[in-house]
Amino acid sequence: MSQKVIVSKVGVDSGTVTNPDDMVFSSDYNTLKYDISGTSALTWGTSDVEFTVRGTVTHGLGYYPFFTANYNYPLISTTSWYPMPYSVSDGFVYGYYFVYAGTNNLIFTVTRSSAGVPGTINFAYKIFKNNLGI
Amino acid sequence: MTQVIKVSKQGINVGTATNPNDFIFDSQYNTFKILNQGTYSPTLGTVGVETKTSVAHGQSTTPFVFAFCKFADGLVGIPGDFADTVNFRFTNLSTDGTNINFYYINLTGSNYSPIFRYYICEPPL
Repeated sequence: MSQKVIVSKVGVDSGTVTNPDDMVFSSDYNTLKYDISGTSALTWGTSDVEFTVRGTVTHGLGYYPFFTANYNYPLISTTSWYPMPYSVSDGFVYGYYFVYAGTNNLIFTVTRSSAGVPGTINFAYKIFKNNLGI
Repeated sequence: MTQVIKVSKQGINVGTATNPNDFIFDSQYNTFKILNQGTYSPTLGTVGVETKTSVAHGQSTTPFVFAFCKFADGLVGIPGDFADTVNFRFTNLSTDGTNINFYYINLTGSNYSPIFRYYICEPPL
């Protein structure tokens, strides 16, 4: 019999529980292993039109990690952060804020039809040790 | 008194800490459990409108799902990302009682073969 660690919710018998929703923790199931957190920013010239700017953040894991990112656009709000990616387009006016993982970097891109003011997007990212395995 | 199990971060007194962010594990809080994970590698024909391709999740309830897409250019994106170098768009992700649905637009002009990685998690939606 394999050994396991189960912490059940209050009132649930950890010796007999089988529904994972009744468990706080079970060694039968993997969890996300939070590893790296940080911020970055991309800037552009106020007169730029139809442009893409890119930035990279090194994570150095050597594989594609589980990740997530949010962005903050100070022109809209200096305090609000939104989940990435973001895209809006009506044909002539467009903006795309994307995030990708490479095996050693996170890559942020901003593509816009016009610059806007100020020309800065802030990013906050979380990288987990979990290897996507792809 | 209810018994608890706590593991604090290095340098934090586990007996006196009260901020959940100071704990690696605290049995008073549920953890995000990965019930299953897999990859899905469809070949997707050219289509100019958002289309979905699906894989069964095998759960009895609609699960919480994370998904990633490895584009052919070698970068990995999340739902909403467009491929960096060609016009393939991983536009959205949804789950229902049966399937995980990957939404895409393929404007590359030919078949496109992304690799999706998905995580089925507890608690359910």
